[in-house]
Amino acid sequence: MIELLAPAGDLERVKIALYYGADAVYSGGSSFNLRANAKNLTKEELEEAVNYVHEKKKKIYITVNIVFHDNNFEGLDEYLQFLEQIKIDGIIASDIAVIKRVKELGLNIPLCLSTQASTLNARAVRFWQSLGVTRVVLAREASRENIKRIKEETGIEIETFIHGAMCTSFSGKCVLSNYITNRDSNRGGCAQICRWHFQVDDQADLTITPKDLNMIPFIQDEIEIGVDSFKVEGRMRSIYYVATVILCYRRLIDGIMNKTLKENEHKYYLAILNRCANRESTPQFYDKLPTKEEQYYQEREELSNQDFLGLVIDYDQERKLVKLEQRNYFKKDDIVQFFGPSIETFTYKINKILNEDGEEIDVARHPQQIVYLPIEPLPKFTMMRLKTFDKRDFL
Amino acid sequence: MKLVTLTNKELQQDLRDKDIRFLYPLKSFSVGYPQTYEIEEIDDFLLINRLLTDEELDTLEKLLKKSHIKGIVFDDLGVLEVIKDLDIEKVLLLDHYATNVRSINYYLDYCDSVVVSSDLNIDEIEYISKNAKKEVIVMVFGLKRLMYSRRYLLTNYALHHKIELKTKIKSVINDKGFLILEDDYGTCFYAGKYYNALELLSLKNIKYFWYDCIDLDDEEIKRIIKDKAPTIETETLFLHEVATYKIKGGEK
Repeated sequence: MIELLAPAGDLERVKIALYYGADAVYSGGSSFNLRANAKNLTKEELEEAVNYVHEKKKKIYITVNIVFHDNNFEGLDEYLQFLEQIKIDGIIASDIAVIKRVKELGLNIPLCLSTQASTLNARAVRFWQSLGVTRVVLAREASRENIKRIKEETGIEIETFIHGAMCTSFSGKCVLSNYITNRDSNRGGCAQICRWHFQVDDQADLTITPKDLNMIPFIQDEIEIGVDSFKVEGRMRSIYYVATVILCYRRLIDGIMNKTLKENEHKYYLAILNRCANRESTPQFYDKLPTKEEQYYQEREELSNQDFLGLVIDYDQERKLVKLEQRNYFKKDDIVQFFGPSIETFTYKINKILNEDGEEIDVARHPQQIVYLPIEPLPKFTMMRLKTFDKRDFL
Repeated sequence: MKLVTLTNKELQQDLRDKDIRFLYPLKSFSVGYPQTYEIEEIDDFLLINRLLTDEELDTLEKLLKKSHIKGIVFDDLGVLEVIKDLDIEKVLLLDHYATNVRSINYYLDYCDSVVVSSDLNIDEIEYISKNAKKEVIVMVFGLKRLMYSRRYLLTNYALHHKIELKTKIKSVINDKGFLILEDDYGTCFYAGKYYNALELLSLKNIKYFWYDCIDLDDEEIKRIIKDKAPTIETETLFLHEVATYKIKGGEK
C-alpha cells in the first residue's frame, strides 16, 4: 500500500490530516526535533495523538532529528523509552547516536533515516540498514534513477518528499543560519537565510530561494519504481494547507490506483496547490537538475493566503444550519466553495449569515467567530474557502 | 601532523616535510575547489567532499583500482563500501555532522579517523578530542564552507539578470561576507574571511591539523603553516561562540 504521510505540528493537525486522507502523520515532540518554532507536542499530547491515530488504524512517526552536540543528550534515553512505551510507529532520525542508542536500549521502535542525512545511493543505505534502519527518507536531490536503483538494490522502504518547501542546500549541509544569526540550523533554529537577499557589489542582489516541490506529474511513476511513502513537508503550516494538500494528493493517488483519474485532472490539483501555498511549485530534481526556472528572484513578494474562510464544526439538525468557525473575513453575497474528503467540492453563494444569537449579520469579521449558514448537512472539519478554481474548467 | 589541501603542485614542493601530508580534491568528486586532480596525480590523501550517486560510486570504484593513494577523506557514507577492502587511511568528513563524541565514536568503528565539525566551539572540540576513542582531525585554518547546494545558483543568477556569468563572487548580508563558488557539481557558500583556529594546534589526541586554504596564494599559505602568522584578515567564526540551541532539553 502506498502511504500518504502528512505533517502534523499539533493535535489539531493530526486530526485534520487523517480526516483529509493521510495514511500516517509525522510530528515532533517538545524535545530533540528540528522544528523548534512549531507548536510541537507535549508528552501528554504525544500519547493522545498516538492513541487517536491508532484508533483510526493509521500510523504516527516522531522526529528525533537534531544533530546533537555533546551537551544535548540529557533526557534522550528516557525520551526514547517513552516513545516506545506509547507505541509510536517509527522514529525519524539522522544522527547515528540516536539510531545506535535505540538498539543499545533494546527498544522495539522502527527506525527511519531522516532526509537530513541526504542519502543518494544504495551503498549508504546499506550502511544504515546494517544499523537497523528499515526506512529511508531520501535526499530531495535524488533523481528517478537514484531512487529506482536504491529500491532495486536494497529493498528498503523508501519515503520521498512529494510536496512543500525546499532547502536550497542539501539538507543538513547548511549552517548559514549559524553564521548570520547564531541560530543552529541543525538543531531546530534555521532562520532560512536562503530566503534573504545577498548583496553583490554593483549588481542586483543574489537570491537563491527555490520554488516549492510538487510531484503531481510523477506520482504514478514514483509508485511504479517502488516508492512506499509519499511525504508532505510543512509541520508549521496551517490546517487549511494540510487539508488542501493532503486531499489533492489523496484523490490523485486514489485516481491512479483505481484507474479513475481523468485526463488533465492533475492540472486542477496543481492549480489548487499552488494557490494554497501562494508559491509556485515544480518537481525540482526528479527528472532533471533544476534550472533557473526552479527558483525565485528578488522581485517576488510573499503574501499570506486569505482563501480559508471557515471550518465546519457542527450541524444544527433542528434549524438546518451549518455551524462554522470563521478563519478569514467573509460577507453576504460572497461566492465560496466547500470541500472535504467525503463530499464533492461545491460552489455556494452566501445569502444569509446568522450569529450565535440567531440574528442575521452581513459580515463575519472576527477571527474564530461562530456563525451559522443555511446549507444541507456537512460533516465536521469540512472547510469553506474563497471560490478559486472549478474542476470542470480543467477537464 | 598537518594535513594540507593542495591548491597547486608547486606548493607541494615548497612544503615537503615529514610532518605534512597532502590532500588532493579529486576531479569530478569534489565540489567547491578551484583546483582538482586526476587520480593518477594523487600520491597521498584524496578528498571526496560531494554527496554521490551509485553511478558515481561505480566510477570511483574503478578509479581507485588504478590509484596509488595512501588515504581518503570522504563525506558520503556510501564511499565506505567502495573502500572497505583497500589498505589506506580512511577518514570520514561528514560536514556539520561530526558534532558529538558519541556519534564520532560510533563512526570510528568503520574508519580510522573523523574530521570534527568546525561548526563547534573550542570547548566542544576539545571535549571531543579528549574523549574520542581514536585520534581525530580538526580544521585549523581555511575557508569555512557554510552551505553546499546541488543547484547552479550563480548560473541562474546570471541568466535571470542577463549579466556575465562569474563562477566566483563575493557577497554580503548585514556585515557578514561570503565567497561563493560554483562548479559542475553545484554551488558552495564559504565565510568571507578565512577561519583561523590556529589556537587548536595545542590540542592533544589529534591525528592531523587540517589546513584547507582554498583560493589563497602560496606565500600566505606557507606563512600560515610554517610561522602560524597569517597576514590576511581572519576570523574565529564559531570557535568562541555558543550557538543558540532552540530545543529544550529532554522532558523530565
